[in-house]
This record gives sequence, structure tokens and C-alpha cells, in this order.
Amino acid sequence: MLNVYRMEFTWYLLASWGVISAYIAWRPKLRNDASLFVFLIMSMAETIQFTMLALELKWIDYLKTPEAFINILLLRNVLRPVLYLFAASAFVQWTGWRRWSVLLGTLLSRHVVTWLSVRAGLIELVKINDWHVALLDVAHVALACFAAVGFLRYTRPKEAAG
Amino acid sequence: MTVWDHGGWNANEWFVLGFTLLGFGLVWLLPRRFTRSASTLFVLFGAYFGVLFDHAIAVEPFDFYDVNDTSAFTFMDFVTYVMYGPFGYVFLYIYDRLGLPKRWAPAYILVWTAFAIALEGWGAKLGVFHYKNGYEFDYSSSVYLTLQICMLGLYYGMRRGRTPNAK
Repeated sequence: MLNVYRMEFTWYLLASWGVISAYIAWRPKLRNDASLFVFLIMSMAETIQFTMLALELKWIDYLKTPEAFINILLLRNVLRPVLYLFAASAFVQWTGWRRWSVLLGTLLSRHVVTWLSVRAGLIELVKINDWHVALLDVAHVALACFAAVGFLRYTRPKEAAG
Repeated sequence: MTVWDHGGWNANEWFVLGFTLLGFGLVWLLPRRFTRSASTLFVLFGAYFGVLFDHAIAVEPFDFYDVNDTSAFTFMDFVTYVMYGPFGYVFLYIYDRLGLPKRWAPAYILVWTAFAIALEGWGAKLGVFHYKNGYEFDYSSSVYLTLQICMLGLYYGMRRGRTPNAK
């Protein structure tokens, strides 16, 4: 029987697509190549961080079924990296309260995604708590912003200089 | 944790280090054909796919293969991802240099897929890759085919969206 409450994969897929469409509709100043660079870097950072925390340090644990892992992949490699694009774009194009409000929004969104993953049983925080997760949120958002700035300085030195 | 090799520095490490140096040497020495932006993305894309696949199908619950000496994530595994990067660049560099019409792109992908399979086979023989849980070396061809189609998609996407101020 059809059970709409057991369609996690579809929900996560649509949520990821929703975040991508929101970013495109937002018409950010960060050009496509810089957006792609930040996406790739952050997707790699999230991936390596997950492996380190789950398999090497054992700070987190995760549900080791194929169905659950595919959901984790969607969150880790698509949804979260797209979230960072908002922060990176705001960091590059704005100053003042607009910049900081988008950065804070991205931090909160990442925290909520982690919290939802824990609630859904996809991951379990074993040796870390919410404060550690908050530090990871800050580290990832900062990495995304610096990656965008670094890429722009390297590829468009005149534009970056003003 | 599965330990495949206790021997320290041997053939698999030489393979990874050799191809990493050769790859980045080529990126450095070949005359420039692309903008800085395109070159960076072409190198990064190869490494990205390596990380994506290794951390998706080579960890639990799938756990289809291990990279280098142990099933744990080691520094040499990280160098292996770095090694993947220049292959993407050289793949697109030669494609651009040859100036092949689009109808020859599938044939070009075929040649590179054969080359990539041969290289992976050599790597597996030297202990870079260790297959398990029903995964066969045979299946890697689909990964390379997908990756190279995506690489050419990126190449044409970058050409279409080329920015005049990009250096």
C-alpha cells in the first residue's frame, strides 16, 4: 500500500531540488563558475568530514542500510553544499547586516538539517553535542566564503581588486 | 579494519605518487589553452568524482572496495584523490587541442574509458584498489563513462558561459 509517510528519499530529493531552485531564482552575483567551484569544494569537505567523524574518529554513527545511506548522500553531497552557496554569494556581494543575516541563516539551516537527520535516525551524535555541531557549522560556512573569495581573486584579479 | 599491506612504502604508494607528479607536471608544463577558472574547475572535477565515489560506494553499507593499504582513511588515500584531478584536465586539454567535431565525442570517450580501465587494472595489480563484497573491476567502466560524459558536459558548459573578464 502507498505510504506517503515512508517516502523519505522523495522528500529529501525534492528538498534538495527546492534549495537549488531557490538559489537560482535568487539570481546571485556569484557567477556560475564560482558557484560550481564552491559547490564542489564544499561537497568534498562535507564528504571527507563525514568519513572522518563516522569511520575514523567514531564521533558520530549512521544508519548503515542502503536506503538510509542514499538519503545521507543527498543531504551531504547536494543539499548542504547548495546551502553554502547562499552564504558565499552574500559574503562576496554584500556588506553589513544583509551579509551577516544570510550567513546566520545558512548556519541555522545547516544546524536544522543536522538536527533533522538525527531526528530521522539517519545519524547519531556519539561523542559530540550540539555545540560541536555549531562549531562545524561555522567552520563550513567560513570555508565556503573563503573558497569563493580565493577563487575570485585567483581567476579575476582585477575584478577582485576593485 | 582490513589491512591489505603492512609493508609501508611500496608499489601502490609509488604508483599514486608517480601519477600525481606526472599529472600535475603536465598541467604545469602544457601550453595554456583554458582560462584560470576553467583549468581550476577541470582539475577539481576529477578529484571531486574520486572523493564522491570512494566515499559513497567504498564505505558501509556498500563497502565495495578499499583504497591503498587499509580500509581506514589514510593520508595516501587523500593523495589518491589529488591524483585523479589532472586526468580530467588532460582529458579535456587533448579534446580541445584535437578540435574534434561533436560527433566524435563518444569515440573519444570510448578511448579514454579504455585507458582509464587499463590504468585502474594496473593500480589494482599494484595494490591501490582492493575489490570486495561482490564488486568487480569490470563495473568501473560505467563510472568512467559517466564521469567523462559529465566532463565533456562541463567543457561545453564552460565554453558557452565563457566570461570575457575571466583570466
